[in-house]
Amino acid sequence: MFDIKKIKADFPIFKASKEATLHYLDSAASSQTPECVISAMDEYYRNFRSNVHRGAYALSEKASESYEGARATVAGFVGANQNEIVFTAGATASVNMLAYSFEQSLDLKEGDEIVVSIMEHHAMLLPLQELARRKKLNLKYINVDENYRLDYKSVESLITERTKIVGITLASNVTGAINDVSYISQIVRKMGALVVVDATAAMGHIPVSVKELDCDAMFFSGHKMCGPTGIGALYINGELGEKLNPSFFGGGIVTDVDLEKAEFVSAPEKFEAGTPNISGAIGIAEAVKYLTEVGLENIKKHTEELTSYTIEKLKEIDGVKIFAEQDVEKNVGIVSFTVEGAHPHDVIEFLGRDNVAVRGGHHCALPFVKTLGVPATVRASIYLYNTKEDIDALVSSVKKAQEFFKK
Amino acid sequence: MSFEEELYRENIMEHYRHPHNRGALSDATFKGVGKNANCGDNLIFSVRLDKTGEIVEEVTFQGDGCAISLAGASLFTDKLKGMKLSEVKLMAPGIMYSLLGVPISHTRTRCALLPYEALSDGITKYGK
Ligand SMILES: Cc1ncc(COP(=O)(O)O)c(C=O)c1O
Repeated sequence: MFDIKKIKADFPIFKASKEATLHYLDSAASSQTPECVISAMDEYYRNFRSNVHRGAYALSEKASESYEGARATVAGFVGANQNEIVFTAGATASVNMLAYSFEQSLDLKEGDEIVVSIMEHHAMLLPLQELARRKKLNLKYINVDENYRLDYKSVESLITERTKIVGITLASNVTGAINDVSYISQIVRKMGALVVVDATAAMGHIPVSVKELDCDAMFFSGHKMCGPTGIGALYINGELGEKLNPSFFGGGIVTDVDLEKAEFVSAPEKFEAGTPNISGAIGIAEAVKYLTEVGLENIKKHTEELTSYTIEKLKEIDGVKIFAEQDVEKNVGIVSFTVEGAHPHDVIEFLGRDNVAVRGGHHCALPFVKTLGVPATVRASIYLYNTKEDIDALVSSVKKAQEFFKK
Repeated sequence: MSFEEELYRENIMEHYRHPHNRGALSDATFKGVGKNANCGDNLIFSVRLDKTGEIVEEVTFQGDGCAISLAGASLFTDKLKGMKLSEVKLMAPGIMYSLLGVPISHTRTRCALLPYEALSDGITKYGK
């Protein structure tokens, strides 16, 4: 059973806020951390801190076991094999590394194509845009329709034999829309391009399986799924992992080094040069265990109800325009909106004073926000610890802000 | 003091609702652009110098923004009119805080500095 009181008590931040209740509606930027994740990392620092892989003493054994155990846990969470999960510093680090590997290892010729959706976060878009610029590739976009959903009908004609890489987000961090990625991969497969999925906004909200998505690579960040900052995971399909050269070099990734060159170990180690973020890996794995224990279906159901409620209540306010996936079953708990007559920055400042934590701006998805026809939006994002009271606080604060700026 | 009184003082709101010097300037000596990376807001400053090329005769701004950046642009353009270009060049970004006269939080620094950035861009491009 999903007991919201119990869930809330798992997160120390909600105890820490003193007089005023914290209405945290910014989980799409960074979620809160449950006690179990903090303790798991604390335990490492207090009781078995040491480097991994190269020590034959008990502490290092324990650290290595925990680190590799974390990899297995994360792999299991997304239906991947253990050797297909690379720990990185996060989503952004993952795509940058991947793009450089693609540049070295794929046969990319001038005029080849990269296809992305207009919804992409800059983390996906910019590394691929830069890759396209360096290699003189054409960057093409899957647009959205009037409901801000991907224009699936256009996909078939967009993907050609010259398409080499397709980058697609599983869920939009602006509208919350969950995209039908497997539909797209099925088309891409026929043309032989690689499918790279940004699962950052979706992870921890819906079950994700790399097999079902039928992707070649996928990435996400720990801090948006109850894990710590500074850690993320990059899934690279086994076959592709063998083919790709690392693009980040240093200790721990070689079988031999001579004066001119080095030979690399296999994936995933060859993509993890240097001392990894050990406590981070332990933390993200603990977050996975926590989310699994609460149950992703329960979390989804809970956020779905609140998303519905948010949309309904905001719609009642004159002058509020909503940019969100309205079919809440296909929304990861994100509602963007604008308030007529008040700039998003002024609105969020108002909300902030009422202890309603939301974000305002372009959410690092400028091409998408421009497509929506606004310079910026206010974004409320909902997660497992939120309640109706949070939404009521949001709505009443929005009304207050509107009233003030209307004067 | 309530929050409205603090950040959105009557003076700021007055400039936000009825900004001074907003619009295009056809015979500008130079123009500059400021971009707010946090929200995509743009301000364009247009400056016309007098015949001697030493005095700011007219200055206007265009663009959209939040209360802080628009009020700031309004106050800043008022201040610039009649100033010597050599003095304008000596002004530090901090001028925006003094003009606004309200406490600016870390997240709003960009909004507050946007008008200054637009003007600096113009001066750099003008190059004299
Ligand atoms: C959909 C999406 N992709 C990528 C990122 C980038 O994540 P990070 O900043 O953790 O690298 C974010 C975070 O805002 C996101 O929402």
